Amino acid sequence: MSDDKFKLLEERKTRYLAAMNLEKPDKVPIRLMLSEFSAKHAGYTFQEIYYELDKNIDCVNKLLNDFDLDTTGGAPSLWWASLHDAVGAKYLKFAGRELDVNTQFQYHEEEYMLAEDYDAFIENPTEWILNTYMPRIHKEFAEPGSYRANVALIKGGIGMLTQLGANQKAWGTWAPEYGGVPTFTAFSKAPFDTLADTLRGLSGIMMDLYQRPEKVKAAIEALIPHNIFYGMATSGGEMEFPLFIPLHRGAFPFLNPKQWKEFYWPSLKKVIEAFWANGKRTLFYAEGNWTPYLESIAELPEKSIVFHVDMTDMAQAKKILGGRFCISGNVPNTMLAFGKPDEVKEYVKRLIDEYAADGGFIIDAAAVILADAKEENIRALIEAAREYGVY
Amino acid sequence: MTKETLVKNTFQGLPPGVCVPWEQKEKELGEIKGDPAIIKKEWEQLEAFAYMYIWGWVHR
Amino acid sequence: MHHLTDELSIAIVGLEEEKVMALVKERLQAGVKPLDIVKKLQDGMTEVGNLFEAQEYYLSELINCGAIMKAAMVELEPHLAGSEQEYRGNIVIGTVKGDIHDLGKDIVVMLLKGTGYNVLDLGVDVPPEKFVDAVKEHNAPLLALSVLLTSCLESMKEAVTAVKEAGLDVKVLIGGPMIDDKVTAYCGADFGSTLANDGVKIAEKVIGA
Ligand code: B12
Repeated sequence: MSDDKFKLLEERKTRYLAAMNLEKPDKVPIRLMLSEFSAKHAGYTFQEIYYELDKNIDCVNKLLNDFDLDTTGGAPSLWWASLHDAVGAKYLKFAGRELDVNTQFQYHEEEYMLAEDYDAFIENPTEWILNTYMPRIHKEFAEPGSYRANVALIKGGIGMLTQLGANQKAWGTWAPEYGGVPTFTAFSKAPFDTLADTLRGLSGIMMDLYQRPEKVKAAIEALIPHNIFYGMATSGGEMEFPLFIPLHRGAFPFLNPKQWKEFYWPSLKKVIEAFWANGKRTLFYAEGNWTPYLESIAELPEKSIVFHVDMTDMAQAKKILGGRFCISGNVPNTMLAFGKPDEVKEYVKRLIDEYAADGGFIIDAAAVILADAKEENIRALIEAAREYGVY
Repeated sequence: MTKETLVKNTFQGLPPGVCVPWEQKEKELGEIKGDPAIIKKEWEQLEAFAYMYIWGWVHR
Repeated sequence: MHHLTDELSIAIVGLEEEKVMALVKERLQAGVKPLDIVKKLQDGMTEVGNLFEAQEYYLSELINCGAIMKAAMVELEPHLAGSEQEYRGNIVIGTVKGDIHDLGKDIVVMLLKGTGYNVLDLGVDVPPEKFVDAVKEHNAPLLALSVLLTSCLESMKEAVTAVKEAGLDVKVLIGGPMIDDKVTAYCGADFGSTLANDGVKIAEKVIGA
């Protein structure tokens, strides 16, 4: 590692950690969730980054070369299309296979878990997932024990390890050669989202809330230790950087306040508190609008989360959570796509003036940055953050 | 090709990280000539990998 | 709060599934015209839309109400046959190409159907040509488009342009969380909104009550 890269790495890391600890770093850290934008910037098609791990990874090399980012979220495509082909994943469509080469991947939501499955799921979720769920979601695994299914299991296992290995190896270059600091190092979900996103689906869960609320509660209760374990296992012992939880169905207006308090919040709180007790902070990536729930979120232990603002009212978030948790956000993605650099700069300046003065603030877009964002606007965001974000 | 039928569970209430508990495997192994702790530790480590593979398809 | 007086309308607003089903059966037996029963259900649904807009009802209530409505319609349908259900008009709707978010669109569909429109739902990831064809085929005075991904605003614009260039006599309403006047103008649409219930209001404006 060259000395200047090492210095850069240390500077950025100190900056990021200070903000998350509610301190005033030297500058407001810049943390952008760049996904398909990175493919466009690197000159790859979406098919290339979805299918080829080396190109997916190379996008980050190019980003780190060209932009002054304090942290990086890792390779833009979370999902490796080839691995999904190997198992015959029904729920994802990828560019280059059934979609045009530059089309955003698509997720096909269904009730992959049926209402009748609750009891078996609650009794032993791990076994239920392998025996009942995986044959439903993976075409190649439709008949467990068959030749095709056996091959799919082998390829699936090897594939997952291959992807993990490639990403780990990439960090071996991003950190020393580019001064790249990870935005997060572990992953988990809110137990309600685990059930509502990939298992029951939204309409399934919404009916369950009225028709079998006790089963929903029992399933969520059963999920808590698993979601805690999954988070800690993915962190692999790394404790400085946060654990990422993308929060979905807890946003307004999915659940009414009573349901939110009864079904969504207690289990999520337990999971986050368990991480914190283990020394791991959570990046609370609150997609959509969470304004009505800020008071409850304030119950979490001080500094245990970074609260990300997408469509939540920033002023309210600052008022209720500021001084308790680091806050990040919320340059509108429409502005990054359709606005002018001056508008972006103005917005960033205002954010920093109004919300960053006492530290504990990270600048980011409101949502994940797709290919529609203009490069000049990303540059304007970074420039403004550097210009106005000096403490 | 969809699997609509439910397969009965072999185990109940297994903790996270476990697919086939060591206690079960130990019974099946019978006499262990060396140090069982080594075998248990290694068994459980690979258990956790299998567990993470299975749950990786749900936590997305 | 609301000014509904009919027991059935009130029951659907209260999400009382059993009561709704019992009342529907009771009224059918008593010889009430099936269309009148539908009308009462629609009044309830209109109120549910208003409550959602007023942020008193959440998605969970809305989706549940949709399911109750569906169940009631299953009961009513055999009796409606022949009585030639009168629709207030045809509306084509879909999520634009590249985007597969459909929860918001489905709510708009539910409210429009619930208030008596014939809704032709083209689903998600719908290319511009399909919108053009459907509007032509059904002679629809209103086309409603939904989008959630900012990266698909471009395909929203393409869809609006295609429909306008085809010279069809149709008003275009676009909806989604990031729609504002600027975006509406950018896409060349006639109306834009972030509120599902505006779908109903604009349909009333364009098609008439
Ligand atoms: C649920 C969800 C999903 C589900 C979709 C399930 C489904 N069947 O729809 C899944 C998991 C599949 C998904 C996938 C993806 N998603 Co998504 N998703 C969401 C989420 C969490 C909620 C959206 C939602 O359903 N809201 C509830 C509905 C009811 O609200 P709504 O759609 O806004 O609709 C209301 C109004 O807008 C209006 N309305 C909507 N349409 C219309 C139409 C008319 C005519 C009218 C009048 C009104 C109207 O009325 C509705 C009722 O009030 C949002 C974040 C959030 N909380 O908003 C992200 C979000 C939209 N997703 C996002 C992204 C990036 C993706 C992915 C690319 C994955 C990723 N990298 O994270 C893929 C894209 C797939 C694709 N090609 O489309 C980003 C978009 C960022 C951007 N730059 O645009 C968001 C904002 C998350 C984030 N903060 O990053 N997603």
